[in-house]
Amino acid sequence: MSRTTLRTACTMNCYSGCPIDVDVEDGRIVEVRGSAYFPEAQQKICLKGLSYPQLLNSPERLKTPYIRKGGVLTPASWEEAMALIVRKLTELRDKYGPETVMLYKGSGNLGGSTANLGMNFWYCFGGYTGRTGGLCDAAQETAINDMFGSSDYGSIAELADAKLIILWGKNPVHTNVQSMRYIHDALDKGAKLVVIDPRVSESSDRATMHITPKGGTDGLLAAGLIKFILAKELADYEFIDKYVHGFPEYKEYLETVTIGSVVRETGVRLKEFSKLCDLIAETPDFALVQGKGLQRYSNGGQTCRAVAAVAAVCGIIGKRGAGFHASTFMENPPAWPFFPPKPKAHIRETVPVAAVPLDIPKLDPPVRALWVERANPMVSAPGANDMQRFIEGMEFVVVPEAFMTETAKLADVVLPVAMFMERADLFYTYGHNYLQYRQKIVEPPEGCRSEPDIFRELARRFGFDEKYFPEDDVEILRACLAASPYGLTLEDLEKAPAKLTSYRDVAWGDLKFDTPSGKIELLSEGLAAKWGCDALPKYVPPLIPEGSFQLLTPHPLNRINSQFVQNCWLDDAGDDALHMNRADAARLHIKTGDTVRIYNELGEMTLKAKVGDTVLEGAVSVFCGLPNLNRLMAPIVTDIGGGASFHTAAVEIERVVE
Amino acid sequence: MSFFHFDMNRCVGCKACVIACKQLHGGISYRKVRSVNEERYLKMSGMRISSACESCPDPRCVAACKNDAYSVAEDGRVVLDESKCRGNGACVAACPYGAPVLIDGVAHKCDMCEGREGGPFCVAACPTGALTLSDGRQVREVDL
Repeated sequence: MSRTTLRTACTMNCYSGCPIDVDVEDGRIVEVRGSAYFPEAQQKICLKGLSYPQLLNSPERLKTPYIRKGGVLTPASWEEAMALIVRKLTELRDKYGPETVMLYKGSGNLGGSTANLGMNFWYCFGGYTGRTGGLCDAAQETAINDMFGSSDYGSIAELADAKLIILWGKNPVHTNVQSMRYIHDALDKGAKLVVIDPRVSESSDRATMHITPKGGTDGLLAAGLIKFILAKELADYEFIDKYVHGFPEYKEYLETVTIGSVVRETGVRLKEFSKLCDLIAETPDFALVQGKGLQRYSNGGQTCRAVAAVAAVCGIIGKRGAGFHASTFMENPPAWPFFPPKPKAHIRETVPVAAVPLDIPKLDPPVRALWVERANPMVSAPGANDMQRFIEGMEFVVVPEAFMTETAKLADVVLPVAMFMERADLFYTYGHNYLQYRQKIVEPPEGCRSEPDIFRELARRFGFDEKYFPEDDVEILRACLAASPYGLTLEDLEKAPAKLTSYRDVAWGDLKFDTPSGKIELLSEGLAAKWGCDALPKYVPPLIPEGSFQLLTPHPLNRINSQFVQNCWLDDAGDDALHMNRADAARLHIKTGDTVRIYNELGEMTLKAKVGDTVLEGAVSVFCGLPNLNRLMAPIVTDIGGGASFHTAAVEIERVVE
Repeated sequence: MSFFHFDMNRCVGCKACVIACKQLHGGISYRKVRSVNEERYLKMSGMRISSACESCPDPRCVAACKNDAYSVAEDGRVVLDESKCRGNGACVAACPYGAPVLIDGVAHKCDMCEGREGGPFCVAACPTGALTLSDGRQVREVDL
């Protein structure tokens, strides 16, 4: 038996984007662990990464195509499935034009160059209907890019030297566990941790303060905090004069925000503002880490700007052991030297992803077919009822998937695909800026094909020009690297992940901001014109319908959105309870372990209750990624960037008498 | 380095140790992570405790097992010889950590990944440094 170790990278859409070592024995994976040291990864991977041997070999993996026959998804041959796809797509395109096909791309298999092969297919096809924005961080990305002129997020390792760390809307224990080492290092050296989150999160065990604003009021909390900061003379006016645009206008706006309204609407008490100001006075150079939870509200974009304003007013930006961290994608992904001419006239990309089920049907000519790739919108997009109606209203739906997801169950054709360790790619993520070579480690199971192979096969059947569909994945990656400005070869990346030169340990360390004013823009006319929002980060309350409880759906420990649900090793590692406040629970006669029904006019679920103080009165929390959970939400788009609003549902709770 | 050392201050309950253990033991974990005050009553701190076989100085499994399946090795580690196990579960009842597990009528427990290059996988996998190895025992003799 020969045992070899190969390096690859985990590409399941996560901050951490970990390099991993895989021990292979006789073509079988025997051990998966962290690899290739760089400070953001530390050769450690999370429980999800450690569970890959089970996920890849899961008995639930799809190994044959399925075709809907007589209303039922029935196993079929690849020949049958591919022939059907070619026939239906040709028929629909010839009748209604290429825009009749909607391409719904997700990020379940993140980054990567070979996904572009699919785009080549759709370009050659003559066009498609796409979507804009994103389900994850579109609001934040747009807000931060506009305000600072670029995305630049600094290294999480910098947190180890911070004296005061404010985690705002981020729960790294679940979403980026490697940063907890640096936070603990800082705490061990005497630093203080403040966590701002409507949930008393798993990352806050050692927090000095836990501020729990009502969900979606973070922007108002930030405005209130800045009022306190100004009143207590903690603002860095030298920094503001030099690097901040629109401060006088913002200050004028703050005059209209009363502390009474801040306290009333956020639920954060006056003494908490005072205490936080005392901590800031003690450590004026603090680190502020902006997560992605706070922007998953209808007002998410302005919230991100308001929270970033705290960093701007305090002048912490660009400082070592301090600074402002808000991770978004790097700006310079690898080049793709194979693009065919773009059929611009037949590409429609106007509808934000969260609004797809409502607004795509309004388009003319109408969309009649759907290709869902690397996505499970039935579980990961808000508004699952509308999504179901939308998918069921389609004439033809194709879903390439590794598992029979809630979305795949609605398809007309399901194609079993190779998972990430089963095909090669280049990879980059949004929590660090290392480029990695995701090596192919094992062959896909018999019956599965990679998405590039599927598109190559379809292109052959359609008779598209071969030069846009090169055969060999590894050769494609070499060509991508050769066409990129990094000066890297695949052999370099095989040895180690490469830190790209544009990446700095301290975000905006040079204090150069690529905005129209050359400063951090608290006031942005461009943003206002583009998104119809206010030019200042003014607070607008989140759009939460009437109801007894606000439903929060934060990220779980054992899943990434709906991914990893098939992994039985992780079943007992997670927490699929409904968390509620003990005061609410007492009123409704609910105790921990009781079965409860959670419902509104859109849907219902039955869960076990956990009672305590992790959420405020008037809110309940269920970790996202469970089937049917997103039926409880309406598909709401964020104010800026075309993001998706998840935490803006209202529900009722009742005890189920057993 | 015969003993686990656990720093409760550093444990965040991420369960990397549990899944690492499952990876090497066919989906079964001999390590458990327990939470105290998980629901954060009065917003007080939660605590997470990761434990496996702690090789107690006064191992009750050794005393409880009638079949001499348990013994104490020279370095102080408690060792289980599964071939001697008759599956009566006395060790499971005796262990204060819940370390032994009966699988198909045979007791199994953590052997600190005997034979694994790089030592126990849970320690290697711990992202925060909560779980480490040490020469001395963390667990002290208890008089109950």
